[in-house]
Amino acid sequence: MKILVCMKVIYDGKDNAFPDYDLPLRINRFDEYALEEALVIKDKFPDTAIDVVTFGYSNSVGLLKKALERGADSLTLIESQEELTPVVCAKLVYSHFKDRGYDIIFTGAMAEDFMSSSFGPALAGFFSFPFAVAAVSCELVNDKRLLVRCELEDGIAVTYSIKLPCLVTMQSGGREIRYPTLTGKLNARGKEAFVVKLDQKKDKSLSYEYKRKKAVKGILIEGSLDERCEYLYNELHKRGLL
Amino acid sequence: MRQKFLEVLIVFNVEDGQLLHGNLNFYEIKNKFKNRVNLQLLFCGSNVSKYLDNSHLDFYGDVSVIEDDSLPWNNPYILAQNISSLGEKNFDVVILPHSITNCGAAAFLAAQFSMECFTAINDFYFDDETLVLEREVFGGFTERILCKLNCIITWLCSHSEPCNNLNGAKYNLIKKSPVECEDLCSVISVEKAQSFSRLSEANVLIAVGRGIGSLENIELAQELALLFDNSSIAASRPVCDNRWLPYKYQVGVTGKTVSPALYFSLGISGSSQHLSGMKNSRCIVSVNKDRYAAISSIADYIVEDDIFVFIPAFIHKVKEKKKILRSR
Ligand SMILES: Cc1cc2nc3c(=O)[nH]c(=O)nc-3n(C[C@H](O)[C@H](O)[C@H](O)COP(=O)(O)OP(=O)(O)OC[C@H]3O[C@@H](n4cnc5c(N)ncnc54)[C@H](O)[C@@H]3O)c2cc1C
Ligand SMILES: Nc1ncnc2c1ncn2[C@@H]1O[C@H](COP(=O)(O)O)[C@@H](O)[C@H]1O
Repeated sequence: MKILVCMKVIYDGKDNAFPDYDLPLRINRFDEYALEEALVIKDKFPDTAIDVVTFGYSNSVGLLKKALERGADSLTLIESQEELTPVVCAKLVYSHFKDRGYDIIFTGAMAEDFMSSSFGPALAGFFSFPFAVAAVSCELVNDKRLLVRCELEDGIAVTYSIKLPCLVTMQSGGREIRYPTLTGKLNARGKEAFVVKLDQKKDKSLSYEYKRKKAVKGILIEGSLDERCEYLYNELHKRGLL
Repeated sequence: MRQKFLEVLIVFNVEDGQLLHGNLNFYEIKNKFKNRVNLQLLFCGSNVSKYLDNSHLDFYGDVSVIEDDSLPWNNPYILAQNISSLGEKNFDVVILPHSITNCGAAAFLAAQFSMECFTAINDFYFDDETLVLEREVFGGFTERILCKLNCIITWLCSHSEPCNNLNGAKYNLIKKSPVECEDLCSVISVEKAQSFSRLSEANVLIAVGRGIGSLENIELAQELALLFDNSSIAASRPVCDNRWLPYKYQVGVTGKTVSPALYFSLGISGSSQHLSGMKNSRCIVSVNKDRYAAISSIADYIVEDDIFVFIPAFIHKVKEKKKILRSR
């Protein structure tokens, strides 16, 4: 079984300075679940090979060594300093990996920075693979099909049976993410990331603009701790809630 | 110079006679394109005829229907394949209502049609031959995309009620899905989560997010909940993923949709998937270390503070006030 896992490294916007590119980086959470699903298949079928690919900043590699420690076999960075659209990223990933004969491709359900949920299905489109989105768990049946359980809107869970080769986007909720083992760490030591340099100029038909949203719509409660407690109590009391 | 009319396709997904992912108002869409459009509608699904008979079509233009009653249509791959069976016709813009399924179908189609794809669009307008799209991204920012057409979008429109009158439309009815791809991706089962009425019945929900930090800290939320009548705790998805609370407490697109009198959130950032499940609450309080967390865009009261500083003090305050009220 040959599996490709797509993992994105994103800026951690917690300090609300996004998109200020001095922020720390972290792995997109949903992509940890994508890797986990591939590892679960490898647990059962040990001759499975898992390749991880990331498209983005050169300093992503350090973080993604963790994927090798957890059990992935190789890591490729397609280096680009520009933020391209998910469809363009997917096309570039496709053009590098189209001849590798993957049986399954896993991606996350969504990148937490731009929240597009479109890279995975677009990649399936380029490969012409059948696909499913927002999966919580998968099970390989006779090496030929994947049983995929997805959680969609309104608490609806759909189970699909998909013929390989196929692509699945993973969300959280199905599995626990494993930690690297000592052997995993040792195995990962000698492994280097393959780096592909890109000179893809930004698609000129698109331009992006960001504006800080005037996000605070309601009342920002100010004052000392006691004043704020008093204020909130009074407001909720007036509304008959307390 | 004569301006070209734009070719715009709107796709509706119907399951057993019901629209699956909300409605789009095509008069509104025409207006947004300054009436320079040839609109085409496509209805895909099962029992579409039943849906069309009940909605009084008042639409002069092309309406295509792809109907296969034997399929469950919660399937982005099958949906995308069927839309692409409409053929090579060049659309400037394709619009679908936003949903998890439709996002998948849209992006797959974009790759196959060599188009761009933008999802979860909050609003858009057409200006100077450019389509301007607005969407929310991480941390409460709005991303504005200027795009030269040839794109597929999923639109977070707010219409859930039928808002179109389709009388007098010409149909082009394709019975039976023309695409033989079910064997590649078939639906084995569709389950609806068991309903947990506590969340919808409660007048006050104390909702905890990842910011609550650990299982032990849930107690603090429970203590706060006890101060309100008819209250319950609720949670964002990561809280349930971490097994700090069972999934039946989850609010959001893949959980419950609620609209209590008070939604009191502790350490929830306000992703679109969470907001779509609680934005209709009558009063929203957010306690978050980050005043610009996305939830602040819909909250009535924002407390910018650490949960573990503010909540114990607030609980103390409420108890004090209640004591005073009782002693009167
Ligand atoms: C297909 C799909 C479906 C999904 N469905 C749902 C769904 O139904 N419901 C849902 O909730 N999510 C859903 N999600 C997940 C969603 O995208 C977000 O990941 C999730 O809602 C984030 O939860 P959160 O706000 O608790 O956590 P975070 O986004 O991590 O936010 C935590 C917040 O807590 C604040 N904080 C941290 N510590 C403290 C402290 N000590 N005091 C005060 N504030 C603090 C931080 O500033 C931050 O704003 C879905 C995702 C996908 C891809
Ligand atoms: N630059 C990237 N490098 C690797 N994987 C990516 C990249 N962008 C998106 N992905 C994958 O696609 C998923 C969905 O991303 P998006 O469509 O951008 O929300 C992510 O969870 C990743 O698995």
